[in-house]
Amino acid sequence: MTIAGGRAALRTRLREFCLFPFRLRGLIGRLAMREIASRYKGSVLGILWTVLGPVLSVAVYAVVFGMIFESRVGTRLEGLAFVAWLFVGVSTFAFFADVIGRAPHLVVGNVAYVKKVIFPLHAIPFVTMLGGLPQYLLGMLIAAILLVSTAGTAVLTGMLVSLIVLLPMILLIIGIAWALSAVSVYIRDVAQLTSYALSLLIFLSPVFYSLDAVPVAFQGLVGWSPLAFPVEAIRAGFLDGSLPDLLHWLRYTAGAVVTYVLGFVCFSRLKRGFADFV
Amino acid sequence: MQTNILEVSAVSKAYDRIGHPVRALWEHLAGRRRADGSAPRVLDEVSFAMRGGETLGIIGSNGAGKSTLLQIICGTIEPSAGNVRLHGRVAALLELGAGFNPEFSGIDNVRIAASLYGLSARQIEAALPRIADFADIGDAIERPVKTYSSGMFMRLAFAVVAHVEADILIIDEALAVGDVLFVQKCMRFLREFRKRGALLFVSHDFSSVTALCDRALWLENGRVRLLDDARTVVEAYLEAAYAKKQGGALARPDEPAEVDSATSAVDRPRDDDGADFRHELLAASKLRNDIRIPPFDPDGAGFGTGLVRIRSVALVDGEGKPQAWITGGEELALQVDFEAQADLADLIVGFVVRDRLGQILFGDNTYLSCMDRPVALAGGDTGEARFVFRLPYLPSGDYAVTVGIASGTQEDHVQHQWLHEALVFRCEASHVHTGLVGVPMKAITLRRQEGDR
Repeated sequence: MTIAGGRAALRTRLREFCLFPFRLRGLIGRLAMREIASRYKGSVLGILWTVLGPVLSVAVYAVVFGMIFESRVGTRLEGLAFVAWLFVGVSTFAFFADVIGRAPHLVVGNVAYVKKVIFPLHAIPFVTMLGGLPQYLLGMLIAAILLVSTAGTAVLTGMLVSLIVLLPMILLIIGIAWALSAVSVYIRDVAQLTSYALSLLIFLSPVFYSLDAVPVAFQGLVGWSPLAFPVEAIRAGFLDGSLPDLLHWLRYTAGAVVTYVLGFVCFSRLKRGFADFV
Repeated sequence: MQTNILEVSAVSKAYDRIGHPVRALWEHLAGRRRADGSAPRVLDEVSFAMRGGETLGIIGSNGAGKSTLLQIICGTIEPSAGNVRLHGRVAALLELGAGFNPEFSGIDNVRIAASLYGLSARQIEAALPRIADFADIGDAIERPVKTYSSGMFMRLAFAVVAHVEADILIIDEALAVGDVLFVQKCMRFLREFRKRGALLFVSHDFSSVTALCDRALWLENGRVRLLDDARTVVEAYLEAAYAKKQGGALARPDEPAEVDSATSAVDRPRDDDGADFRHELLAASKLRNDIRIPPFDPDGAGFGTGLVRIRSVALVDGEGKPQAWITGGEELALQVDFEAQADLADLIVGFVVRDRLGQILFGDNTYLSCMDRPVALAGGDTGEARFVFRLPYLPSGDYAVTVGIASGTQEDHVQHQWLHEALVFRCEASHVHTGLVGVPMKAITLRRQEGDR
């Protein structure tokens, strides 16, 4: 709104761009708390489901993939280790899909925030992401406890360090969510497309198999999945205690930052027309 | 010299033909979205500025652009041209509880709303008791807001904006749903607030605009028609609104209608002067009982045999001129012009004045006055009934005049035409606070009796 010297203005805008999630942390945190509460609202066990959910899904995957399909695609793991291996892939995907699947509805479903109140719309994907993060982290904690209890504490460092892949993954998720939520205001088909894309992605990502098991011709394709690197890195850290490849991490982070920035720009530009279409 | 805390400079808004969404998407994305000059402008070069401690009322008919202007000031929509400069925190009560999540409890919504206004967690916790106290909805504050009545919604929403330390407060029509006590509480708050902050107030309730605002801005078709002292603007607005709607409806009494003996029965006003002894004083004060009269609507809801058609109903002065404005305590006449569609005998014309709740305040008919010389009309004849009376002082509010024309006697008659709301009028300011009407007082004294101790 103000006309100021180009460079100073750019610096201010850049600082605002980097800091706004922190500036809005009070609001985002509060809304995320409410989001978590509302997810379990009306259920008898309430917040317990954040723990119960991951435990039950571990049980389901253990039965289905461990006993019925006896799927050992690309892994020679047995028993609990296999369940943990599978669980890391499935819950990472679930976290990703939860936010991305909701993304097309984030603006469209909050008409009041667009039209009626002064609301920092940019903050919405953070709220959704933080709404799903605790359950994901809790699931990972359960997996870690199970693994440490059977394999010992040797893998502990690898486990903790491997979680740094979550940082770029979250940036990536937010960036994609910005783009999807903004575009779907104009083109509602995005919601349908997204849900099909996600169901395709679960098979194009190393969730039920490991990247090594993919035929070489397709490894490039699967490697492009936004989940390939984090899932593989966390699995390596959790099961072998190995650290993520720094170069790979840097490359992934660079891609995530670019996505984040592009998503932000896309959202900021499209925001101007929200009121016309929601 | 205080600086302006709100500057609106040449703000225009045109809702362009939105066009195909895919095209719009592309244009926004590429930053090539251009205003289409041909689109009608909802706002056209609106400019004004406000300082702290100033109160501005915005009035205008529906669709004049009031809400759009407020939304632009709040930043929920972007102007097509021009800009808004704000220096300070804006709190707005645009649509009731629009930001509230119906599933959450009142207190949680307060926390969320307050953090939306940029309050820190500590500030919010500090403000919570005061907000709860102001809203005064008791334990309901712990219940989900979906269980709230609109009044409770409004109490809570107002309580929040009242406690976020705003520099600019924007209130749109919100006070309409509150009960009297709460509205008064809000008014007290707003009076206090305007000592430090700038208040922007949109309302159709002109008495609160004149009571609360220093200046008023009259928007008409997106343009500033007048920006001046609040009372001047409200009066100009009402006069224009009346003149416009009035059109031909009341311009009729010039036709010298075939007046039967009915008029002679309702004699010239006898000057026995039943005026309130303060009438002159009141008329010169802010409490002047100004009453605005929109035009007669001949197609209004009603019933009857249809053998009489009421052509016009008007409140007229001594010379028979229809009045756009009348004042409580004034002497005037209610004039009913009608046309018989068939031969009719023993006509009775009557009226009642009702308040907003439909309670009858007063009324009368021609029966007793004309009993000994009944009036008959042949088909096609026109008639006129005239009731000359001193209007009581009326409390602020809306009123309706019901008019009926019948044949027969007081006890046994056939309604030919009955119009529920032949005339509606609104009373803007009043010194009457108790009772349905204010009776003109002959004298009011207060003194200490001599030799009393």
